[in-house]
Amino acid sequence: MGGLHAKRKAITIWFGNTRIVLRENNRIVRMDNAKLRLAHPVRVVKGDWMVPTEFLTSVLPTLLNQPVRYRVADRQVLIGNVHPNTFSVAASAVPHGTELTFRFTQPIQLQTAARNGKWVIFLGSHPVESTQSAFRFANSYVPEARFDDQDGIPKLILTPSSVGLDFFPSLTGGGRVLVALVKQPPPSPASRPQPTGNVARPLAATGQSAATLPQAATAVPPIIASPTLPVVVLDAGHGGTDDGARGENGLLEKNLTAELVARVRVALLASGKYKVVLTRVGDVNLSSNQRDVIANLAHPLAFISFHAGNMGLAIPRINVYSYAPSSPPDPNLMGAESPLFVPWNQVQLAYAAESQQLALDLQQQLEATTHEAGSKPWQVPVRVLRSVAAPAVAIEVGSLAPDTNPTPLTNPTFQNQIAIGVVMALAAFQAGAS
Amino acid sequence: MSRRVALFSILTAVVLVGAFFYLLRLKRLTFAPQSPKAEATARTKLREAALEPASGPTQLVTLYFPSYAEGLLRPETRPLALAANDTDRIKQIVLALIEGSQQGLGSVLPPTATLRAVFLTADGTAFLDFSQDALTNFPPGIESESLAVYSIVDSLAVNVPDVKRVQFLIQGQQAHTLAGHISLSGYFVPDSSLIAPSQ
Repeated sequence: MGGLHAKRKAITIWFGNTRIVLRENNRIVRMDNAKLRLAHPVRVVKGDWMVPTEFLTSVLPTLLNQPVRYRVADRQVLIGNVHPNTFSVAASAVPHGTELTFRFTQPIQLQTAARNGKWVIFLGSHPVESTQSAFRFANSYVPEARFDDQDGIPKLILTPSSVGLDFFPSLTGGGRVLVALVKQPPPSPASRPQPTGNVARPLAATGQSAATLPQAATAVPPIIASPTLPVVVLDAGHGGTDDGARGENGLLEKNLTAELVARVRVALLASGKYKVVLTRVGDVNLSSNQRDVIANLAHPLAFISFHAGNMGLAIPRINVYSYAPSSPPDPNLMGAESPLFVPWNQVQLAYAAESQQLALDLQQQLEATTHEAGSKPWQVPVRVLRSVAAPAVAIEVGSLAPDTNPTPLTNPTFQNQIAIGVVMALAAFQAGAS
Repeated sequence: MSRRVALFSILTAVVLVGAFFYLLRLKRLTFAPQSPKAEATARTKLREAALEPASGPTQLVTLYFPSYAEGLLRPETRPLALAANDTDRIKQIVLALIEGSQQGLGSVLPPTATLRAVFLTADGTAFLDFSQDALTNFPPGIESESLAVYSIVDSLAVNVPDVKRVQFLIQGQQAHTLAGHISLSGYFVPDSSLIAPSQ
């Protein structure tokens, strides 16, 4: 944007050499000498100028000299010649179950996981466009499937109606047809059918939260690459109605942390040395306690929480934090009567030294990969680290504040440097621990 | 006819001059930033409130403000006529912190933040009850929240020796976090590790 000139009832904006004039409660948009009529008038709400969504597709293409499409279903804007994968859904009844068939226009890569009592089907890295965000089915096995790509990772989230159902995802038709078979398991585990060929093993909805843990979760383990690899839990801070910090251009902390986690996840999986568990999948509300429960059930090598916040005017900056209580814990409340139990708010204390070492490794490696000199790791009472039963740290990038342009934080190069730094730091941490 | 023309000309001139001054004023109103004015008013109120209970002799107090460039707290001294009793002193220190740095350091809490009540118990625990406004306009972040909390705790500890620890309350309740990151569920003891070494 080249400039902005606000009057009482009109605003003039310059994009390069193009001048746009908007008037309050007026449908006419002037672009240089041309007039454009919008279906709805421009509004001013609490000092903010609001344009109707059609502004995106009618005015932006001229300004950007690129095609622009607006996805109504998930309110996303696609700029450029992006041709997302699309799909149709059909459900059919099978004995003791249901079969959901997703037909894609382009091949997908299938990867599945079980989270919070739901099945998550990751659809690869190519953008996927969905006509709607939720699909409802009239059956007693999977009443709902949701599409989500808020964190940059397109995925389908299937919600089983009850615990203990078996889930057989498979890919056919050259990778274009995804069949999700959901069945009631036979009464006796001994007679349970063993899928063969290209049909996946059953994936039980192993909820990470105790409240939603299906009964069969312990009987059938989830599909994960190798049982011997250490788990790293990645936590994208905030989410849902909790936006977190906000940058000058409207960038929200919850979206930035989801982006960072997506990149770190890819880097960790690419290393072939770790399994990755995400606390937050999609744009959902998750309390600190829920995040900590997810981490503790995974028995991870490390828990890394990503944040972005106000860090002054210098940008980009990276700080690493481990947990320290705000005051020394009362020795009388340290579980003396029942040493087998640790108070929930003191779980992390037993891992303080390891967490500090991990924070130091991260600070050094992030400094090496991003070339941004960070301050030495802090020990402060970061709420989300408080009850993690593993080495746990928080990484904060900044500055993300209303008076700072956060563009450097969304730079893919910078984000990839962070991802590489995390992989290197975990390797150093493991080497030190061994 | 000529009289009518003269009258019309005079009226037109008056209208044009009036319109010119009106537009000039409108321009000033439209482009003058509104928030600094509101902030200045809030700051003035705070300053008055901070100085109101002064009864003792003026003395130099040390206040710690965030230095985001260093990611640390920097001390700033200023003369303040401190009240005789600890509770009023605590109020004065906190309000002086909210009022902001006079040396261009970062702000601790938004100028609109209100300290609703202060209690100091016999064991040296200061309960500071802030209004919800303290959170509404606070730019969140682990660093910013840590610096805000410890600027208050460390400033109180150095200026009111009876304060051994601080418990933060929001609207009379214990809050989970200040603005989403730093836990406020426990007491805070002073932490000098966040104070920049003297140059």
